[in-house]
Amino acid sequence: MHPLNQSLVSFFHVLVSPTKWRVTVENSDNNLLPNFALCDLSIQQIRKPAVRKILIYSLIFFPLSIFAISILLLWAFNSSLSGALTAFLFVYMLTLTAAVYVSVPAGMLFYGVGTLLIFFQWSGNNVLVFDLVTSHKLSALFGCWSACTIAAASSHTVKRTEFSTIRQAGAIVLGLIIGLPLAAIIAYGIFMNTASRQSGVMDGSVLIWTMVIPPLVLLSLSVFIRTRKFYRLIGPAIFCVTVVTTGFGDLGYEYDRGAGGDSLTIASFTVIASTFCLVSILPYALVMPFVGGWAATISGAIGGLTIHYGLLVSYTLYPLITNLMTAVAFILGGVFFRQLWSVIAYPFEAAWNRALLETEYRTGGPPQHFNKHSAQWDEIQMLPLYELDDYLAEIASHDKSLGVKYIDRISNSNQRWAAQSALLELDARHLESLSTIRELTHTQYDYAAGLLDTSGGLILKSFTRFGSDISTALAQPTSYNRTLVIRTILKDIENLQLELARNLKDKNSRRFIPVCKHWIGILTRFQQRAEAQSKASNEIPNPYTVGAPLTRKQKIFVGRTDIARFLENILKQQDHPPLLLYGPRRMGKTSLLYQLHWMLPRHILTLIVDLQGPVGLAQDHSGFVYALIRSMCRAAARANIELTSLPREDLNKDPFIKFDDWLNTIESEMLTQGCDTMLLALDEFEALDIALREGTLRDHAVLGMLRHVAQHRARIKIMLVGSHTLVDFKRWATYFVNAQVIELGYLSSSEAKQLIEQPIAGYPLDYHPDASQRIFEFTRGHPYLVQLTCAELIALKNSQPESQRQIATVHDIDLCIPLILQRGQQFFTDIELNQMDDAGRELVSFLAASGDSGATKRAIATALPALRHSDTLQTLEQRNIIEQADGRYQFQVEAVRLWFDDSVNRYTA
Amino acid sequence: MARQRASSVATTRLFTAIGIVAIAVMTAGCDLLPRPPPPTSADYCGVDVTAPSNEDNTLHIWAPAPRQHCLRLYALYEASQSLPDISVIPVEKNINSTPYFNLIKSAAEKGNAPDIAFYYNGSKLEKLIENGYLYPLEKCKSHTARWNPDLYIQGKWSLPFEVDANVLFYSKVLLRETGWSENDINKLPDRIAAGEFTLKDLTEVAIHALNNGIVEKGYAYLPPEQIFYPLMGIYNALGGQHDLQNLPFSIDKAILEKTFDYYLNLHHKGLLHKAATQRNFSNLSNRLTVRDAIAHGRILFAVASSSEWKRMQLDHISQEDVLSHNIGMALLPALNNDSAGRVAIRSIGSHFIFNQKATGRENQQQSCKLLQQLHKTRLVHAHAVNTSQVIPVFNSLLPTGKTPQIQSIDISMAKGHQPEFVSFYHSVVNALAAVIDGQITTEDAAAIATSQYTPPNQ
Repeated sequence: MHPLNQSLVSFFHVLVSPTKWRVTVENSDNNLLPNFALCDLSIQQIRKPAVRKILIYSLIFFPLSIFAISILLLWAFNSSLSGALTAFLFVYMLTLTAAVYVSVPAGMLFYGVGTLLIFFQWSGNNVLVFDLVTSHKLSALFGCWSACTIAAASSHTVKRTEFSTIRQAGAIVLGLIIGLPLAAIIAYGIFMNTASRQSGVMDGSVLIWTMVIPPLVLLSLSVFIRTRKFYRLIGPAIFCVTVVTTGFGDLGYEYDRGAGGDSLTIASFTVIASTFCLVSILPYALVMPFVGGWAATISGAIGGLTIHYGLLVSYTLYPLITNLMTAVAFILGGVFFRQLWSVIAYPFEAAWNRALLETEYRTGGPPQHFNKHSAQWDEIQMLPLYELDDYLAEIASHDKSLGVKYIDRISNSNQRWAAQSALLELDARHLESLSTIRELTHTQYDYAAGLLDTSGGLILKSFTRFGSDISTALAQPTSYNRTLVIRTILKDIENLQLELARNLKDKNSRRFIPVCKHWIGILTRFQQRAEAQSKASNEIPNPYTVGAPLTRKQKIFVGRTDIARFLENILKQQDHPPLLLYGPRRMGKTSLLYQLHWMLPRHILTLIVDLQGPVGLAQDHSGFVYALIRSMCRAAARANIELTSLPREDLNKDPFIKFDDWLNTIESEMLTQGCDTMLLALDEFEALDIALREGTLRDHAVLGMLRHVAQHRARIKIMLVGSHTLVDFKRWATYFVNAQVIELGYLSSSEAKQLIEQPIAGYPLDYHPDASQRIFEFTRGHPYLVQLTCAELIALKNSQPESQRQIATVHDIDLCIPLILQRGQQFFTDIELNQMDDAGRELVSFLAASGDSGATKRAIATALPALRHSDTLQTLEQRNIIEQADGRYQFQVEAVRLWFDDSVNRYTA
Repeated sequence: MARQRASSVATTRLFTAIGIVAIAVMTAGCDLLPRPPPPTSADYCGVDVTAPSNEDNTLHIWAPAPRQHCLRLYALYEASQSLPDISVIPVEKNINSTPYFNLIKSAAEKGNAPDIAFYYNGSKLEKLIENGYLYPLEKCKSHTARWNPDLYIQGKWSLPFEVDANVLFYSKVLLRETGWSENDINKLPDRIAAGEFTLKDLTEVAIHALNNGIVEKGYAYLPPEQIFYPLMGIYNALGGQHDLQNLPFSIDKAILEKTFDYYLNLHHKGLLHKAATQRNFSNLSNRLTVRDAIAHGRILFAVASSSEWKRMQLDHISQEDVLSHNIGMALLPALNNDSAGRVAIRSIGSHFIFNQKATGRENQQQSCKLLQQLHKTRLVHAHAVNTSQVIPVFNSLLPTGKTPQIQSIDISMAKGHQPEFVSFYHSVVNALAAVIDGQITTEDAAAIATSQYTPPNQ
C-alpha cells in the first residue's frame, strides 16, 4: 500500500479501530503500549524499523496526506491558502506537542480533526491575532486538542478501570493544585518577558529564547516525571529547540521592526500555545503515573481551560464566556467521543452497510462482502447496526464455520446484540430443523455471546430444559410415565408460547413462537402415537416412579399432610429452633421437600439445597458461600421468585459477611414478591460433614453461620434433612443442640392403599382386598418398596392375557417378590453394607432365617454367643431395620427380611 | 545491590534538584540573559552622528528617535546643513520617558546638559524651569515674530515641533463591501473636514455595515485605547466646559451625563465594544492587536493616534501601498453638521533650549537659530503633508482653507495635581464601564465621576 494511503489507514485505526491499532503497535514492539508518547520511547525502540515506520506514517505521512487533501479542497472551493497555511502550521505544532508529551494517537487524532476544524474556520483570509482573540477559534483549537487527548486515552488506554473513581478524582485535583501554580509562574514569566521586551527595544532573539526555554524546561520536567529517565529529555529538547528556532528564526528582525500581520500572529500564537501546553501538560504529567492516561487527560483538559482567563487578561477584546463554553463543549465532546461518533457516523455507516447487503442480494450465493461491513472496521460504534444480525445469520447459514468466526468476533464488540441475535436465529433454525422426539433432546446451547441474561437466552434456556425433560421422559420405564411427563412438557411449551405471544414487541418472542409450535407438533404426535399404542394393547398404565424423587406436582404423591401441617404451624412461630427432618433412605424425604411447594401456603418459600452437590464439594469458604447462594437462587427460580445473585469475585474477602448482607437483600426481595418466610432445606446434610471432617471447611465458620441465621433471622428457617439424627454427628449437635426432629416414617395403611389402588384417577387395575393388604405387609408402607412392588406388579399384569389383566391377586404379588428383591437390590445392598457392621449383618442374617416372627434376645444370645448383641440390636433398632415386639426382635419390613433371607440362602447355596 | 540502588536514587534526586534549579534560573533569569546591544536610531534612520571638528560651533541635541520618529533626526540633520557655521550632534537617548527625563535633569544639575533637547511631556518641564535651567524663547533675537505665540508652552519655554493627535482611521476594505465607490472613499476626509460627514453619518454607516454582516458587532467603531480624551471631546461638543488645571476640578455634571448617554447609545447599537471602556484596553497586547486589525481593515471606523500610521507602515507586511489600499485617515468627525472635523491632541513634542547654567556654554542664540531653521526644513513640510504628524507651526495636514477645530487637551494639565487628575480620569472611565455593563445609570455614573471635584484634602 502507498505510504500516504497506509498513513490514512493508521489514522482510521486510531479513530475507530483501537484493536487494530493496538495490534500494529504490539507487533512493532511488545513493550509498547497503544497510547505511547514519543517521550516514552527508548533508544532501542526507536532503532526498531517497525517502530520508526509507525512514527513516520503517523507524524509525517499522515499530516502530509491531510495537508494535500485540504489544499485540494481549498483549491476546489477557490479559497485563499494564506490563512489555512498558518493554521496548518499551528495545528502541526500542537500535534507534535501532543505526540511528544501525551500520546501519538492523541497527536494523530488532533491533526485529523483539528485540520478539519481549521479548514472550515480559518481558511479564506489572513488570520490575524485580532481574528483569533475576538472569536472562538483559539478555544475551538485548544478544546479540540484536549478533546482528542481524552478520546485517545479513552480508546487506547489499557486497564483504565483498575483505578478507583475516588483515586482518579483525587489525583486530578492534586495534579491541578500542584501543576497550575507552577505553570502559571512560568506562563507569567513568558508573558512578562515578552511584554517588557516589546515595550522597549525589542530584541527578537531574546524574545525567542524567552518563549522557548521556560516551556522546554518545564515540559522536559513533565517528561521526566513520566519516564524517570533523564536521557529521554534529549529528544524533546532537540525537538522543541529545532521547531521553534527554525520556525521563528527570523522573528528577531521582525520584532525590531514592529510586529504585524502573520509575524504577530505566529509570535502571539506561539506564546499563547506554549502557555496552553504548560497549563495542560504539567497537570497531565503529574497525574499520569498515578492513575493512568484517561484521568490525566481530564486533568490536563481542566488545566487547559485556565488559558482562557490568561487570554482575557492579555486581550480585553477576548470573549471569555463564549470561549469557555466552546472549550468545555469540545472537552465534553472528547469525554463522550464514542457516543458522539456513533450518532454522527451512524447514517453513513447504515447507508454503506445497506449498499453492501443490496450487493449481496443482487449477486446471490454466499455473502462475500462482510469484511467491508462497518462492524468490521468501526469498533466504537455504539448504536445497533441495522440488519447486522440478519447478515451474520445469512453468512452462518451458508458457511457455518465462517459465520461462527464472525459471530465470535462481533460478540466482543459493541454490536454484541447482533451476535446474540444471529446466534438466536441460528438456534431457532436448529430447533425448527429437529424432526423427531429423539432429536429434541439435543438442545445444549453456548451462552458465550452473553446470551444468558437476555430474553433470548431465557427462551433458549427453556428449550434446553424442555430437551432435558424430554430425555427424562424417554428414560421413563413405563409408557404411562413417559406420556405423563411429555404431557407436562407440552403444557410448559404451551405456556411459553402464550408468554411469547403476550410479548410480541420483542423480536425474540416473535421468532420463537413458530419454534414452540413446531415442538408442540412433534410432541403431540408422539403423545398421540403413544396413547394409541397403549390403547391398542389395552395396557395398564404404570404411574409409579421408582427411585427418583417426585419433583413435580404428581397425584402419585400421597400422605405426609400431617408433616406439612406441622411445618406450617411451626413456621408461624417467630422463635423456634432449627428443624431436622429425619427418615430412613428412600423414605421420600426429597420428594416431600419438593412437594412442600404445593403443600405449604404460598407465602412460605421452600428452598432446597442439595449438599451432595457443589455446596458440599466446595474447596473453601468463598466457594461454599457462592455455591450456597447459587443453589438458593436456582431453587427460588423454580418457585418463580427472582433473587439477586452475587458474583464469585465479590466473595473472595469476608464471604460470610457478604452472605449475611446478601440475606438482607433477598429478604427484601422475597417480601416484594409475596413471600414472608423462607424454609431453607439443607438436603443430605451428612455430605457436608465430610468437608468439615477433612478440614476443607471449618465448623465454626459454616455451622456457626447457619446457627446464626437460625437464631437471628426470623424470616429464614433452617431445616436439616438426612437419614441420620444428630446423635451420629456430634459436630452438628454442638451447634444444633436444640434442633426439633421431625421423623418421616412409613405410610399409614390407608395412605399405602391409596397409593396402591388409586395412584391416579380412574385407575383400571382392581386389587383383591388380600392383595393390597399383602403389599402393605410386604412393604410396611415404605414408599419406595410400595412403588417398586406396584410397578413390578403392573409389568406382570401387562404380560398376562387380557382376561386376567384387570385384577391383582395375592398370587400375582407372590410371583413378583423375587423380581422385586432383584430390582431393589441397590436399596437392600445399601442397608446391608452401609447401615450395619459385621455384627449387625450376622445378627440380621440370623433373624432373617428365623422367619417373620423373629427371635427372642435369649435365642439370639444362644445362637450368636460371641456377639455383643445388645449394642448391635440397639443400633439396628435406631436405623429402623429391626424392632422389638412382644419380647421378640424382628424385621420392620418383611421385604427386607426376605432379601436378607434370600441373600443367606444364596450365599449358603 | 542495595548500594547500587541507593546510588541510583541519589543520582536521580541530584538531577531532579538540578532540574528544578534550572527551571527557576531559566524562568527568573530570562532578563539576565546576555542580549546584543540594541540597534541605534542612527542605524535604522541612517543618520551620521559623528562629532564635527569645531567644538565651539557645535550644538549638542538630544532627540530620542525610535524608528517611526526618524523625522526628528532627519530634520535636525537638514537644518544643520543649511547653517554652515553650526555643527550639530544629535544625541539619541533611550525612548523610555522617565529614564530619559532623569538623564536630562541630571545632566542639567551637573552643568553638562545638551544645548537643545526634545521632550514631549510639558508638565515635567516645570522642574527644569523652577531650577532655572531653561532659556526663555522670547530672548531669541531673530525671527521669533514668525512663530505662533499660542504654540509656546509654559511661559514660552519650549517650541512645539510635532503633535500626536487622535484621528479617525476608516477601513477602505469594509467601506467597499458596504457599497462605497473609490470616489466616495477618497472624498471622506474632505467631507469630515468640511463638517459634511458627522458622527451621526458615521453611526449610520456603521449600523448599516453591522446589519449587513460586513463587520462584527463591536468592531464597527472603536474609540482609542485611552477613551477619556474622546469622551471629553464629546463632552465639549455637547456644550460642556471644564477646568482641569486648578483644584477643585470644574466639570458640568449634566453634560457629563449626556456624554455617558451618547456612549451608551453607541453601545446599544453595537458600535462600541464593551472591552474598549476597560482601562487595560491600552495594554501592549491590545495595542498591537488593534493596530494590526486597523492596518488590515478589519475595523470599520477606529479612533487612534495619528502616529500609528507610521507604526503600521513599519509593521510586517503592512507596507505603504498595502496600508493605503486597506485604510484611510481623516479628522475626527464633528458631532453636528455646523462644525468642521477636528483632531484631538494627545501629546506635543517640543524642543527647549538649556541656558548657560545647565550647559556651561553661551551659545543659546545659535540654538535659537537652529530651531528656527528646523521649522523651515523641506523634510518637515513634506512630512506634515504626507503623514499623520501634525506640525502645529504649519498646520499643513488640513485641507487648504479649512480651519481645524483643534481640541486642545491640556497636556500640561493639572499643574501640580497629577495624582488627582489620574484619579479623576480613572473615575470617569470606570463610571463609563459600569454604564456600559448596565450596572448603573448614566445619572449615577455622572455623580460618581464628578465626586472627584474636590480632592480629599480640601
